[in-house]
Amino acid sequence: MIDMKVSKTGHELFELAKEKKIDKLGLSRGLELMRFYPSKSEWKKMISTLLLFGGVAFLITGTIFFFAYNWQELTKYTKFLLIEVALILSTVVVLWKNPVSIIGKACLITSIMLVGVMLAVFGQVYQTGADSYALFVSWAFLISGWVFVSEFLPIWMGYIALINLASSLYWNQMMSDFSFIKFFQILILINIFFLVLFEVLKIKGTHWINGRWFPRVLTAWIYLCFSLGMINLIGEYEFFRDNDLAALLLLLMFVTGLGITFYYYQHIKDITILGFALLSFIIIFTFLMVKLGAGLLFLALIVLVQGGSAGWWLNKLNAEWRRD
Amino acid sequence: MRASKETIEVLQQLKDENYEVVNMESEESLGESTPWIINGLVGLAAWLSAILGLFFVFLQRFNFFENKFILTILGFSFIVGAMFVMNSLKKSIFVSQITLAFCILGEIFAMIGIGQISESVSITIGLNVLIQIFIIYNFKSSIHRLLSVPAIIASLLILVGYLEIPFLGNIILLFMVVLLGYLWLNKEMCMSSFLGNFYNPIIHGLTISFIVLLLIAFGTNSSFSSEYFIVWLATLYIVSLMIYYEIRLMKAHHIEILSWVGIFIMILTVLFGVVTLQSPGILAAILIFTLSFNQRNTFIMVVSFIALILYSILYYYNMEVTLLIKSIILMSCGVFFLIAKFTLSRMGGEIN
Repeated sequence: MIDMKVSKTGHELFELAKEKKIDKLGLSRGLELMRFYPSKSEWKKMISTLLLFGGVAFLITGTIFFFAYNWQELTKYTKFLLIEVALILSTVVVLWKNPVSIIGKACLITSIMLVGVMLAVFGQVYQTGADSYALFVSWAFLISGWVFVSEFLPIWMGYIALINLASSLYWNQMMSDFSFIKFFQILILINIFFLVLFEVLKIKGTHWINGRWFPRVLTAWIYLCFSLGMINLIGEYEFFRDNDLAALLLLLMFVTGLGITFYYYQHIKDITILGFALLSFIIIFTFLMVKLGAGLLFLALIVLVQGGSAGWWLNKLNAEWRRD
Repeated sequence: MRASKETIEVLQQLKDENYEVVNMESEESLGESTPWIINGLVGLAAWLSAILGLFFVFLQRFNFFENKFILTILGFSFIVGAMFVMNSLKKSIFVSQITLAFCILGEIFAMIGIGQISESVSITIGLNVLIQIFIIYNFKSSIHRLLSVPAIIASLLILVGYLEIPFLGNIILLFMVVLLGYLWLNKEMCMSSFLGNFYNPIIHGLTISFIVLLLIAFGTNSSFSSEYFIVWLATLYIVSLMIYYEIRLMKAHHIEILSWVGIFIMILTVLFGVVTLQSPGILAAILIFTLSFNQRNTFIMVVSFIALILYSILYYYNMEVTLLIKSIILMSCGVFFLIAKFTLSRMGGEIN
């Protein structure tokens, strides 16, 4: 929606004006030359996109509310008929317009959401009594094909979130010996799989894989799981009583995490992901110090030293990478 | 941040047109910007260690914490010391975060001390406003300047509640709308003047405060909102600014204000204002979204978009109708939006 290059250049010109390196007339002319202010067509595109996605969002939430109301006047057949007709209609539009077009993507999101509504209504009508994880697992399974052809990263992100949610619910509802360490291991494995998939597709030059937000969100989540898993291990774990293999696996995974960080350091040169890794390390190390009985002043010093060194190193690295 | 290739090209063109510009070849280190993750990481560490250190000091139970005069002097010393360090030492993320933590700590100490000495809420809050203005002017930290704006607004609101002057909140709101409109619509002028150093933190702080204030004032059905704010007046301010902005935009894009497109847009704005009369936040979020879009400010665009979603949820939540009616309204809105989208696509030629 926003041309980041124009945005960056414009902000640089504003900075120059702030530092009195160009005057107001020069600034106005400079902004005009680089077409900083959005043109009529950009405005139209923005309004059009917002209306499309706003319209779809309103329709979907309206549909969810409509079935959540559980209107008794409607027979179960009418309910299914309504959802299925809407589902078929939106899917036909996807096929007609092509899933990679903007209308196709909006309709694909509608279809994906309608599948979820249909499963919820199924549970409501037949009172299946199934655990909630079953709904999310079925939902993720049924939409997989559409996600693969969508060529749209937000749909992928939603799909990964759905799988994470389904796995969490499954673990919570089905596992009798619930262990946080194993739970985080599963989540880490799932998300590393998608991260690797993303990077492989990116290296292969897949045209719809662009930007850095997708791996950054995924790695932020992976490092959060690492940190929580390790904190749990440090805080709760008792040797010879708990499952030593699970703990060993988590430690191995942490080493894998360090490997991922090294890969991003060496090849991708993504400072944000390195920052997440260091933050995770600081959290784990500080928690270890707490567990070992460090005092408040010592903790304050440790945090200060870790944060300061991490910031100094990242800043140095960032400057080096920019020079390259 | 080095000046990008595009900026150097624009500057060269300006030079060719005889504008006074600096020679960029020798200015490669202009306004170095640090990635947010580095600032965040160092800031987090600085703040966490400052808090832990403070806890340690408090647990030592030093006597001076119980003396209001010493507390006030300590507070002001922290503020002045932080200012001195920040303004005199070489710019570093770590130093700036630590001084920021100490400055805020000093403000808290000073406010507690002044509150105890004066035993008056209005004097304490009035002094806080003055201190914040002083800090905005003298403490060269964008984060503190950004935080000072909501601190001033919050102080003024507390003062409104304390002095019990009915509907005074609307005057603050009017002041904010006028200031927001002025700052967003005159960025070029502000950045070229002495305001340039303060512009970005102040406009971000003011915009975020405005969004939060509308949420507090009209998002909840509290007695505070009904006593100190008149909802239709708030909507009127926002609709007025929106129409003024639309007129400026139409002029900039050479659209006749009295053409059917111009009249249609303005009627639509008024109608939208009437429909969302009880929830001015929705129109305010749209207004801020469009203002930030015009300035290509992605951060405020995201903030206002989230605010729009939040206000819309509250709007539907507060509707006193059944879930069935709500769902029908939502679906009708969806259909209306989609029709509007396709109408816009079809009449594209006429607008262009």
